[in-house]
Amino acid sequence: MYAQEDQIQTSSLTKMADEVTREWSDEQLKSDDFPKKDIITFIQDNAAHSFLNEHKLLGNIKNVAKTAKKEQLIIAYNQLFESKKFKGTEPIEDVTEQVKAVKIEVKSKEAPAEVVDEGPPKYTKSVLKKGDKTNFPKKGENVSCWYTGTLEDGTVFDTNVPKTERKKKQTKPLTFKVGLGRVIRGWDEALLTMSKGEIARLEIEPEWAYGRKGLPDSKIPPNAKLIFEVEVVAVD
Amino acid sequence: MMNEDHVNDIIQRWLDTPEEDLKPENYQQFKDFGSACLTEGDSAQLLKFLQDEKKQGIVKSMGYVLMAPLVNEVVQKEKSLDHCQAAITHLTRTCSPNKLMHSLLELIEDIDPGAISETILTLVPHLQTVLLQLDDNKAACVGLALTALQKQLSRLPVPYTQQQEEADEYGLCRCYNALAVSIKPFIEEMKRKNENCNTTSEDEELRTELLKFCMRSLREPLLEADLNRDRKSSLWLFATEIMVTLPAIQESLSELLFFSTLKKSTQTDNSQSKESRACLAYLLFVQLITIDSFPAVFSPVFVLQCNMEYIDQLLTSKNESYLLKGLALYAKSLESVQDNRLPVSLLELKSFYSVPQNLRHVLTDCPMQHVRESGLQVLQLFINKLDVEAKHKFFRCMLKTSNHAGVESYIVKNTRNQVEFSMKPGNANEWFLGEEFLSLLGLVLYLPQGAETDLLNSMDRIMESLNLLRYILIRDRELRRTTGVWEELCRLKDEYLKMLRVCISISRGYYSAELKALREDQKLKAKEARDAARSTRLVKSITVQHQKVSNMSPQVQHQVLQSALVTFDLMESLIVRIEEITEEKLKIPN
Repeated sequence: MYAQEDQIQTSSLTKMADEVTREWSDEQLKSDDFPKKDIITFIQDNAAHSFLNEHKLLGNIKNVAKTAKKEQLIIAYNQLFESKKFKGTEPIEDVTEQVKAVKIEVKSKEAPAEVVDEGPPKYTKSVLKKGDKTNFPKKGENVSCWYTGTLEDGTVFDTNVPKTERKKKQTKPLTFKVGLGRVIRGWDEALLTMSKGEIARLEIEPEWAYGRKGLPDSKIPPNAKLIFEVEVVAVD
Repeated sequence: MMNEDHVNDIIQRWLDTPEEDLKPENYQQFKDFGSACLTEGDSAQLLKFLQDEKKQGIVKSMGYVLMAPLVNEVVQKEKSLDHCQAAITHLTRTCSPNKLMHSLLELIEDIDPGAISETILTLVPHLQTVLLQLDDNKAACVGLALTALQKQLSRLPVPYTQQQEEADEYGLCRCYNALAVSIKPFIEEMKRKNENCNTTSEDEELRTELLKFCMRSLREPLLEADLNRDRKSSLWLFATEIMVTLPAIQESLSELLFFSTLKKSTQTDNSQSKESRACLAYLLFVQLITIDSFPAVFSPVFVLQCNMEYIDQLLTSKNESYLLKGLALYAKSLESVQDNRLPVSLLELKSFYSVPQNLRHVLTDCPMQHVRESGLQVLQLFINKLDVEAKHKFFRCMLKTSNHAGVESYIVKNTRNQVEFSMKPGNANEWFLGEEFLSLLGLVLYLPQGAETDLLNSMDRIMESLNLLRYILIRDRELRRTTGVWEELCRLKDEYLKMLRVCISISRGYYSAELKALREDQKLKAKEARDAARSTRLVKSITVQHQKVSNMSPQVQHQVLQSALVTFDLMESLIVRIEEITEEKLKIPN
């Protein structure tokens, strides 16, 4: 998995901005015979992540084709060459985001997706302690973890970490099958990237947490961004 | 009436006999002796005997047989309560715990049905003392005792109103709270042992017995009780005790609620166990008892999915308390889900089919209006959470299966709302505006009994269908976009209206005839009444036109028939209006 990641990183970093040439004229693009999908493919292949995000061109080509009008695409195509916001013109942090986006897209192709790819992942992960980097949970496998959840203002709304070390021995960590939509999406996505022993801080946007409704009975207000510190204890 | 010497002889014989040589007759004699003392009002003397240093040998071997008579004496509340209580206490400290246990269990088994709660309240503290003294079979005995006690308590009616609970006429609330108090030392012991990682298989057995007690309690009495967090009643407090006991004995609520059904072991799947867990889900999610220690990481759709099993279980019941809890749990589980979110694949799950069907039965058959009203609200909430494709499938399913005009009309109304919603910019979809819509529309514009349709019975449904048609025709632009759809739609409309006109004409003919006959009959009766008043002769016979025998008075019958005719007029005027719109639209170029 990590080997794949490195591959994608290198390729986008080495791609030079001025290698991309403009192939089609406006007349060609406007033609009824010219399919939207071709324009989208080209832009997705060559534009920087932020450009795609800005013009709402991220995600599954079929879905983008449904929602985007031809005129919009032609405008975007022209804009791309004007602004020169091609792949490889972004700093490294953004590249990691691209990698995440690509990984998510690959996964959704494998499984019959109920959820449509909506763009960049709505969470961030900072590793506090590295895991063994070998035992990663697969979708459907059991994951056990200790966690503490806080709101942006620092309020702890949930934790399963017992107060004393001694109690930790007789308490069981939370165990569930990951990747099946049993937990909030931020957790499902993040935990698949964590290996046994890893401790990470996750910041999850409301769309991948409890959204507009929140979970008032558990002290989570509407549109709340959630912060979790998660320690993966066991993988299956 | 034994004389003192004779009694002393017997006592001496007991004292001289080693325990292993004592025969059943001796035990019976001792018991009779004790009972006699009590009946004669000599409890003080009995206590003195029991506390006598020199008699401890007898007391130790045979004392336990006196438990039953002593407890019964206390329960009957006749004089000398203190002496009896003191006697019981002494016995619990002196006799063999195993023998005491045996006699106590027998006592519970033979409880006087008229004094269930009094006996239990008397017994429980002493039972606790005995149980705490047991060594190797403590867990089993705890289990036996709790099972036996709950079995007796299940014979008492559960209070349902606030007044009933406060009065606690049968003592049920007091007993359950007493039980909750009595098991606390066992829970504490388990906690201590867990902390020191010192558990044995005996402890595991005790944990199992305590868990069984909690699960039984959830089902009886809690599932029947009216629990309300704004009114922390006696049974509410008991419910809280149970909810707190479960994590104390290392039983995770999320494991119990979410993951035991998924494991599908035979042990956990029977309906009683489901009812217990349904109550647990209700107490947690609706009454919010211990919700703050429940993990806040599960996705709302997953929680709904798990709770559907419990909702299903509760909605199959005819018990008002079960139904209201089921509906409340359903509503609560749906509320956390965002609108238009539930995908059509969920409807494939057994519980997602079964629950709406059960809900439908509640709406059509339940005699309690407040339950039906609550049910209708939940139905709408459920519909709102389905995504567009799921709504489409659900509407079709309900139209095919409900066989009830009221439910069907509600679905048709929802269909119209969805069509309207779909016409707003950005909401276009094939399910309510494209080719797929036709399969749903076909079910809406359908008269299952054809020309013999009872229009009055189906009135709600037909009016809603006509309203939908009218709406579609006025806002036809969106639907005309997809080729083939409009033509098919018009075909459906024409066939439906044709059939409907036939029905109206037949029905109108029939009801008009009925009304005419009724009026004729009334005229005839009036005339005969006048004739009878004028002449002294009794009227020999009254000719009655052919009419169905009805319990209604003629005035009411008249009203019914008139309103039927008005209904037909209403339907027809709507059909006329629809045809007018069709004509108008034909004149306007596309």
